[in-house]
Amino acid sequence: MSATTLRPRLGTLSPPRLRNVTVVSIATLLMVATTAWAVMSAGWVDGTGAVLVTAVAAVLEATLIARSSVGRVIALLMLPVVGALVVVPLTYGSMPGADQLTLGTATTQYLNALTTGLFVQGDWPFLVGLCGVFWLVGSWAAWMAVREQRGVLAVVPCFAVLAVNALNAPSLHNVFVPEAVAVVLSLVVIGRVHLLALSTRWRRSGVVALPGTERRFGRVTWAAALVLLVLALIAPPASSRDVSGLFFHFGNNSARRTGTGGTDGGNSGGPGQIRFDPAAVPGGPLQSSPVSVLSYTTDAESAVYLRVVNDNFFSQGNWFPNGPNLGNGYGIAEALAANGGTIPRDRDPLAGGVGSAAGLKKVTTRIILSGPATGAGTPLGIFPGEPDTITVPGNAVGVSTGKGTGLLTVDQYRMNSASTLFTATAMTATASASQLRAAGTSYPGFVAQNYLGLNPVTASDRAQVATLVKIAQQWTLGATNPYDAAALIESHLRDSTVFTYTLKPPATRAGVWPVIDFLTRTHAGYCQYFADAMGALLRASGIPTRLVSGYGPGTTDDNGSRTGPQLHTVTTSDAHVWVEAYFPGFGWVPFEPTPDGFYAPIVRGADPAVPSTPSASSSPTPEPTPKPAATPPPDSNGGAGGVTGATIPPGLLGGVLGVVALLLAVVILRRWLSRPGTLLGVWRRVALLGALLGVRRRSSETYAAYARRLGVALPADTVTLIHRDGGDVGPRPVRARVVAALEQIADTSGKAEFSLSGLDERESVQWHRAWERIRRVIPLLLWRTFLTRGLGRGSPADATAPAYSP
Amino acid sequence: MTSRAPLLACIAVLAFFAGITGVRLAYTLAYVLVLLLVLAYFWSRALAKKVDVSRESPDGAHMVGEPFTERFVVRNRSVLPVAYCEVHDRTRLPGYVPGRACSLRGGDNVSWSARGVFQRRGIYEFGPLEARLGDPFGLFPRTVRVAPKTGVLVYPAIHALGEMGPLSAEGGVGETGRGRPVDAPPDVTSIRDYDPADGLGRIHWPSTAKTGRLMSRVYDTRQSADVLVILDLEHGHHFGDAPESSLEYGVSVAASLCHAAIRRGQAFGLVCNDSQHTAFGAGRGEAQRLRVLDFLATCVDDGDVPLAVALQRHGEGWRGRGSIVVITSNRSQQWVEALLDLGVRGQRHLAVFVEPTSFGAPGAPLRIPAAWRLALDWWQVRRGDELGGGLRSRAVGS
Repeated sequence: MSATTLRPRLGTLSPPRLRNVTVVSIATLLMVATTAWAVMSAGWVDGTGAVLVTAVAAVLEATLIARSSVGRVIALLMLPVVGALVVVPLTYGSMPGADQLTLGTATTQYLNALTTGLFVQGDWPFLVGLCGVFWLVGSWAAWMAVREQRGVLAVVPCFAVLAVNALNAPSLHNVFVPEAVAVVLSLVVIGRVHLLALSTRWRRSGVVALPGTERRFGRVTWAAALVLLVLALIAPPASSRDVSGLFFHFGNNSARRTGTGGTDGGNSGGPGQIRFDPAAVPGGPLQSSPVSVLSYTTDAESAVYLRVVNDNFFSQGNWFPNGPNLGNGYGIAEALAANGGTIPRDRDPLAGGVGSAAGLKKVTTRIILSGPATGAGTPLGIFPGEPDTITVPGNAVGVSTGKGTGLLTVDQYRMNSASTLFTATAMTATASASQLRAAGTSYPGFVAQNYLGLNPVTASDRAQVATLVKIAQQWTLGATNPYDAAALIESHLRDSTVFTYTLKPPATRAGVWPVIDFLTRTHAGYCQYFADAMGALLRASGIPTRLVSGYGPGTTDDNGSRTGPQLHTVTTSDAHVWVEAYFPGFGWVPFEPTPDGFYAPIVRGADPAVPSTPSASSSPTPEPTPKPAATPPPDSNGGAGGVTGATIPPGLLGGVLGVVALLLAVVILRRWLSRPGTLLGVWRRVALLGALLGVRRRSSETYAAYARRLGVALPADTVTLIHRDGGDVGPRPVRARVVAALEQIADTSGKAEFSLSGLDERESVQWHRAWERIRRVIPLLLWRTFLTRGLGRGSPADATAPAYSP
Repeated sequence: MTSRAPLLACIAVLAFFAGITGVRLAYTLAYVLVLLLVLAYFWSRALAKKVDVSRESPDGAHMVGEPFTERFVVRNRSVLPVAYCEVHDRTRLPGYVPGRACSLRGGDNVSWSARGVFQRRGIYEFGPLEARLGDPFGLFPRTVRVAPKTGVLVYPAIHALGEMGPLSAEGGVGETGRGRPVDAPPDVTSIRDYDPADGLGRIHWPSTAKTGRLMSRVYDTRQSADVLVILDLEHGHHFGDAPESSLEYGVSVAASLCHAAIRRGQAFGLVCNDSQHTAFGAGRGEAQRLRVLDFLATCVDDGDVPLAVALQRHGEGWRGRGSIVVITSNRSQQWVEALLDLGVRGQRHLAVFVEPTSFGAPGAPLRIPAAWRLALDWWQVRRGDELGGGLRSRAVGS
């Protein structure tokens, strides 16, 4: 602990230095850019580079305006004008049908995209909306930081974006690091803005900041920010259960963009619990915490799959349901009221409807709900196959016949009341494999129109669709009919030597559809990955396909205490997604591509060529073999739905620990360098510096001689500095000062060693100060040495370095 | 709105959404903000208790124009670093801003010296000293009073006036043959507390016995003063802002006269027409000098008695020994006439006229008629004049 006596000159009350504002501006720029990076990493849409450019431009623009004398009103008026000048050139090229648009139409589209782009599907509106958000965030942050000097207010929008990104991002795999960096930078911004405000106050009140204040303040802020981040990462989450459905309802559409986020059964967006979700969006790792949601009995010989929602729309590797209220504009959907009983749907199989013709069997289930089985919001009907009847009044949603008389498909059934007990009847396909092979490809119009599209929008989409087509062609080589093609694809996916079922799939690369990454690289995932892949490949093969979100058969209550039909219990962990393909005359036929060891391939009707499971061998039911026991998936964590601690990604943890270790090493080295207790300690440190510069002390060499030799080896002052005012002030004269300090230390060492009186107090202070002068420029010396000859190479003492001549 | 309000709102919203969604990253964001708040609070609180600021300030009496040095030491007894420590001195000393801002490592200390010059007379205080410090994020700034205030008395500037009538050798104790100071026994007017400088003969024993503490006699020695200065402190006649004001110039002249007279061994008295009607009887020695300077350090022009009246009142008992010096900026004739009435044969008084127009007073400068010049010694002081040395050379009509 040493007292530092600083003697600032009176009368040097300078205004806040330009450097303060510059540092704040740079920190703000980095914070906003890193926030944009986090959003880009989440894989919302392609082309998010425009977002980064917009964010950077916004910060620069707002900084320039804030540095000028422009008032708030003028700045507010300039904001949309400059924003439009930046956003429009960046996004106009990717606007759908930009060539045919008039100025008015394009303006309207931009206004719509800016106001509602984040809440509708479609890449371009979303991208424009995102650019608008980042323009606002960047401008606000820079203005608040530079002009208003309100650090917390400056970073609040960035935190909001980071939070929304964390809660709703399609994929969180690549988001952690940029969000962590953005958080640290936001804390640094708060600190630097505070310093800027302090500087302004000091200037006004005539307080002079002692030399080094700003530097130390910056270090303290960085250290505090890093410590806060590490602590926050270490702290376990209070809960990992997603109960957002109790508070918010975003319809049956995919909530990934606008909804509550979280991870749902079969539809994952990040670490979380298996739970039912209407959309099929392959995401992050899952955990199994089964919570009972329903029980049922059935008149089928075995347990059945429970259908909730059909996912008809494929977009960018994900499957979504559609309906009249979803606003996505895809598919022909209609809602028809049903007062309980028979659902108004077309029953002519030849027209695409489901009837009671040969190849179909009616199955009845009695369902007892014990939890929110179909998510928050409107309760949905649960059927053991193609919906036929239900005892609860509601609205059937599906593809209309166009005559207002019925539905060709029933994609979901919205019950009017949250009935906990109802009976549902459904039709299940019993067609045999040979029948399906002979079904042909004469698809009804609505089927060909709505169930074959892969809907590429961007160039990247088209490239990935091409990849799907290529894989489908490879896998279905030799297939002569759609059924064989589907069976080949199914068997490929169920090949355990290639594909692995896991609840913790590897991270997906940024910019690549998860399904593409799954098929070409990772080969590991859970039911969503497999169903998604099979559905996409079937469509790529020209086979009408849809995905079904619902539940697997559940667990059979076989304790024998119950009389009558067996009771099957379904939990959240039974949430499942499977595939259905359309075969003319037989309707929608299910396939099971998920090889988790519990879901067996779907058994077709009486076809001796197809092996069947014992329970299904005598049954023509097309529903899959029930799960043998209430065993959780092989890699699930089990548990009873309680709070489970989420884990920190090992890579991130390792990175953080590495950074912490590095920082610790730097701190220890700095402390060691800055506190030599004795002159011998100083020479030890000088020897280290000499070793780094390639000049080692020879045996029997005096300190003075070593100091001279080291002085010769020091890099020349070649780096030119530019003065703040623009003038060239020449190289920083480091070398001469270091040489002088070395000589002073050498002289003092000689006196300390040989003088009888030793060192007096003044000389002790002098060698401390001399070493301090050296210590401060060690990084600069090493850098210059690195620039000139590289560290540790050559023998600089004997090299051609100019000799120092004081 | 402080920085904490939006932060708290952020935490509430973020914690809510993290809680209902269970998303780990959302929790991390919420934790960062919560920890930021907690860390900032405890950091600021710890530093407020562990940072000491000490100072070494001048004390006692000083004179205008005298330089001084203050030394400050900031010590951080905590292991936590101090991101910033802003030391503010609430002193009202004109032109002196000793505050500094610094940043300290854990267990470190910083010191600096601040130099200043006493620019105006008066009683001033160094301090109280306040330290503003807190967390680096500015969420919990704290202000702690870290050092008490110390007082200092600043005397008016004293100049070497040189030779002038009232201060000439004839008026000094060197001419005791005339016997003026000793031949006129002073009147006892009252009693006061005993001063160690008082002789035993001055003790008033009856009062001492009655009060239980030593009491000294107070003599009315005004009439026997070698130099009696009458300083005009009537409100409304002085102009300009200190230190360039006619009042400051007048006070400085009075202090210089006092200093010069006492150093010569002359008896010096001072009469003012301020609101307190302050009057110092003639006296010699350091005690008298300090008494007068103490008063002059703080006097203000708050009187309502015209100078002419004051002259008449205090001149009634004037015995014609020594000289009267009137220091004023009053341009009326009454005081001149009153002063002339006090004149005795062979004795000339001095009128120090601090010209108010040079300090911004409206109107024309005072024109001194020849008759006044014949009857009185005149010294006209203008703004910017060097008061030291050569007074005689600038005296008018002497």
